[in-house]
Amino acid sequence: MRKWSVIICSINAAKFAHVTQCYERLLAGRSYEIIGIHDAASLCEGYNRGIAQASGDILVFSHDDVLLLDPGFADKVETRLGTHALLGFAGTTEVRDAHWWAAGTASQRGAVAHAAPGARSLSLFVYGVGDEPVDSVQAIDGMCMVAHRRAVNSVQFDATTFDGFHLYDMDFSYRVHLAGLGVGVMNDSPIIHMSSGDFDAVWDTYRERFLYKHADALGLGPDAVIPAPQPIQARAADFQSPAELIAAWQPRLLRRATIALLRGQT
Amino acid sequence: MIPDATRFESDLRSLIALGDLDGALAFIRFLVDHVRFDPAAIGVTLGSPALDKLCSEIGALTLAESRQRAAASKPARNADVIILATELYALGGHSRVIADLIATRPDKHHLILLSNFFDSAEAAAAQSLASATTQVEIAPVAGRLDKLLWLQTGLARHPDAQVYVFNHHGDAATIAAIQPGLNREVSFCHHADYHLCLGVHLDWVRHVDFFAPCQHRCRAAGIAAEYWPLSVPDRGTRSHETSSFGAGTALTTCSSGVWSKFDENYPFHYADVIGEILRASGGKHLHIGGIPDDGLARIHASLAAQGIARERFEHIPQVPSVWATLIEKQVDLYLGSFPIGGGRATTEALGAGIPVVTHRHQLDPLLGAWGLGPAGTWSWATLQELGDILRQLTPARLAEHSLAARQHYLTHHSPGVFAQCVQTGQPATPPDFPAPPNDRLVSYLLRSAVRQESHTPVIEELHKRLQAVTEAGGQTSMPRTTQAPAAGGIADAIALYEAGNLEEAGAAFSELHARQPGEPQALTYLGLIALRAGMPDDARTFFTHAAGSSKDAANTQAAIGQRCLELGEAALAIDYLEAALKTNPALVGAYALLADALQQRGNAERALALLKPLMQQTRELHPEILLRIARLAAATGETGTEQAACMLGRQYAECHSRLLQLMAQYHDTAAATLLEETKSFVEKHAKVARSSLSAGSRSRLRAGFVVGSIDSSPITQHLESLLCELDGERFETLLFFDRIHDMASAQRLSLIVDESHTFAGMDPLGAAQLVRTKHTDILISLEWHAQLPALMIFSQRAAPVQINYSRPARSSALANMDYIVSAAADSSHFTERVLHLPHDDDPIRYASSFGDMLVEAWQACGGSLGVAA
Repeated sequence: MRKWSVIICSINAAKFAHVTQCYERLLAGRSYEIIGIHDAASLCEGYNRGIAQASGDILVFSHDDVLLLDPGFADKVETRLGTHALLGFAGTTEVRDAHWWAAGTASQRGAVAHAAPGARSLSLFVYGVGDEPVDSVQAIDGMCMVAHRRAVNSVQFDATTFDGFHLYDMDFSYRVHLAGLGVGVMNDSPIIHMSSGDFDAVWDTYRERFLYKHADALGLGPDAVIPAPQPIQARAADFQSPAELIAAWQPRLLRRATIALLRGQT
Repeated sequence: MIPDATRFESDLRSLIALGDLDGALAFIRFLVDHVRFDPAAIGVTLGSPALDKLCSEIGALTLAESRQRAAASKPARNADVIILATELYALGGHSRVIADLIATRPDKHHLILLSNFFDSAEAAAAQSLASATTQVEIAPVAGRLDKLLWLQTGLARHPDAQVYVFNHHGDAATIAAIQPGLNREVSFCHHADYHLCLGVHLDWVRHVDFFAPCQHRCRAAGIAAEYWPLSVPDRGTRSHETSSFGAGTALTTCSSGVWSKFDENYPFHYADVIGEILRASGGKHLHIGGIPDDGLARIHASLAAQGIARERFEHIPQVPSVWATLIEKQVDLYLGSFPIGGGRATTEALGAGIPVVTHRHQLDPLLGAWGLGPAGTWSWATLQELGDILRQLTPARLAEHSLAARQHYLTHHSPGVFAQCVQTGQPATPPDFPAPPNDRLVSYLLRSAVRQESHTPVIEELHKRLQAVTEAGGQTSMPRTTQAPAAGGIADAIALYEAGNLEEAGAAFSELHARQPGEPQALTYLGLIALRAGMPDDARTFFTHAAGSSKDAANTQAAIGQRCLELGEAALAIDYLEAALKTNPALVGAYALLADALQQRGNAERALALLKPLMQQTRELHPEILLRIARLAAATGETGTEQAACMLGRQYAECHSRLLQLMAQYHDTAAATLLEETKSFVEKHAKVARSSLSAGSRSRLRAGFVVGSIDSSPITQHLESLLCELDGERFETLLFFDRIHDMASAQRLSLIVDESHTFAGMDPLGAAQLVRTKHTDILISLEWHAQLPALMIFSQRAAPVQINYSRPARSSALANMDYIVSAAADSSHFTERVLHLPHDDDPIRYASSFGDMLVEAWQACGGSLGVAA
């Protein structure tokens, strides 16, 4: 039996308790450990510390504000890590910038539900879902990343360049992709993210670092003009309960929503 | 900036200082009610030290006067025990606890004082506890301050009495009345224990909880709560023998409780879960307790939708003893009410030796009665868990739980245990209590989903009241306003009211009333303003004066009833409408309003009984009455009455449309007859000459689907599947709808269609124009004459190709409906041309053929596909 190591950087005891309970439920009956990092200097530093402590074959790098609703999550991951060394829930088939939706709707993959603090509903965002339950991508969002041990044996988080809380995920997943290990987005596993990212001046700083670091891979010359980030495009719907959300999370429905999304952009 | 939520405390204290004690008591109740009726507050906000303290401060101010009054009227006999309650019910947990309390000490003289704080105490129910040693007194209908003085005087007359307090949540007068030193000992009996309740945090009283989980929660909140376990009389046990338990098809499950415990805003509803229970158990499910008509209809509809025979569900509205019925019906498993549990009923099941399953409420496990019963009692939070429990039952496991349930009852809930607590004053030791399992994130999500918008209006109203009292120099018991407008007519005042400016409207009506005392409209509106300010007692006073001073009392009463109904006060509306009809039975409009009010209160059968006799009249009935009769008859399953009403109202499109449905649905109407009646309908209500719109060349066809209502019906489900499967390369999809009844379905559809548009509020011409402006190439109706507004769009020519895709296929008889989709080759009963689709039960299989068919229809009317427009 393969062992799981769930690594969570959290300074919020209540959120840590919530997310821990979620993983305990998902991994019940399996061998697993929860590694809480409560004093991370940066997410890269925290995750690297977690990796050093982890004894599992499967490593989960998770935010403390996610809720996974799929009871089959663990089975699916164990099967899919054979072909993709890193799995996530939203990402892109083409990295062009530091945010994963930069290449446009045709390259977006995944579906995520968001529940903003105080919101009365769960908002399902369909970014792009194809015919297969896992789409191969170049980079993923870091709300929840699941890695096979072989991925972290080859690639570690870059705590030097990304010494804050931004773009650790894009950098890590892109490098896993560039290493040829395979990165995938699962679209048949419902997930709720309880926050959205902050795209402030600090983020801009890390964006510059990301683009500088990956200029060659991205084919960016010294005079390259990078357009300003645009808002993410998605098909969205609001649901009043997790049960309603799960009822909507059907592959054929998400695929058809993707067709409508792509058509709406052309 | 958001309002300072802590302001209520200082505002109330200022109100008290200004002498407006009645207003302060009213607003405390108002605030409690607002929190209490917020589903998100359940199980979280259980008490308020600030409100309790404010009540005590009010009571302290009236104490001297109460003692003076008591001294002036000594009682004939001193009471040993005083039970202070808000009101009693013939059925109801706390009334039974009070009866048990009295029974433990038959040698003592008991006095029950009912505050009647909400002026709704049932005298008969209260007097049912009266005996030679138990006296019952009910506070008269009066202001809140008067009730406080009445209660406190009653307490002051018996300083040596032991007092037990059973107040309802917002009964501020009762909590204000009890004061340290006024009586020998006061015990606060915490029966309203999952909502905000006054008195919970009083630190000078004994705090008593009747259920271990509740005591645990109060202790966790820092309250020195004692455990006096609720008891129920022992009526014997069922057999614990393994062979006595059914399994598979013989398993009998049962739930009981008042309907409100099941009918909550929750992720799943009892009506739908019954099918799940029956599927998992394979047996039969009993329900003990009243279920309103609409609830029962929902259960039956859900069972039918799940393909489960209705006979496997048995409803027993009322029984003398739940315990005895469980044994008599040989129940194998008791499923506690959910999502809100019932402590007493669960205790009865335990005593009867019935294995119990409790629900772990997703907001707070304790709300579902989790924690009652012996260690290891089955509990569930999700339908998956419930199904797992039911599927894993064996006679041996049931027998084991049966024995444990009975043992738990004998140890903790037999009458002797409770009696000992009361007689000795020593609390019982609660059973071991594990930490409640609770996914707090799920709780948070659920609370977010059910949360009310805001309580700001209550706090704002309180502040306005304070300002008014301050300006008036203190001491007022009626709503005052900050400024009186210049003298204006009644029309101006009504305009202010209709615009929602209640403050100025109140001033204007008050001034009108001052100038013209007894002006019925002014009095009516003052009553409505009081009602909207949460003062129903004041409202009634105004309304009574309005009717009394009117030259046409019946019409005034009917108008009051109508306005009350508009404000959602159906109970009040019923009172006034009934009074109006008693005075003048010829007020036909009042019948319709009264029927609406009765239906709102869940009494559709009574509403129908009210209207049915009108059908016997010789004169023509107003269509509104006929439509109501038809709808009520449909709701109550009186098909014959419904058909008769529709036949009478055949000249009205809605009645005629419904008649067609009935002919198609309930009777074995010959296809030819149905077609003739449909043609007759079109001739009367939808006669439009055939017209055409040109079809052109398209790279993709824009296919529009029309439904009247988005709901959870098979039609909506079929549409969702079809839209998922329809070829995205050849078709863009549009959805046109009238109403949304199921938001989740609407949201799913909005994800997958390219565009969705509502035609709500549009006439057929406007709706057809909407379809045209969206460049719809093919318009498809999924319903027959069931959805009138939707079908009428097709009577106009809204798209070049219009297709009737009703299932089963029934002709629309509309001149502008070009095609009908049918599996049958015979076209003799259709006015439309037939598009043949042999199998249409599974969109995954037939979507491609359906798409081909649409393209063929498009080409047949001169259009082409594949060439850019």
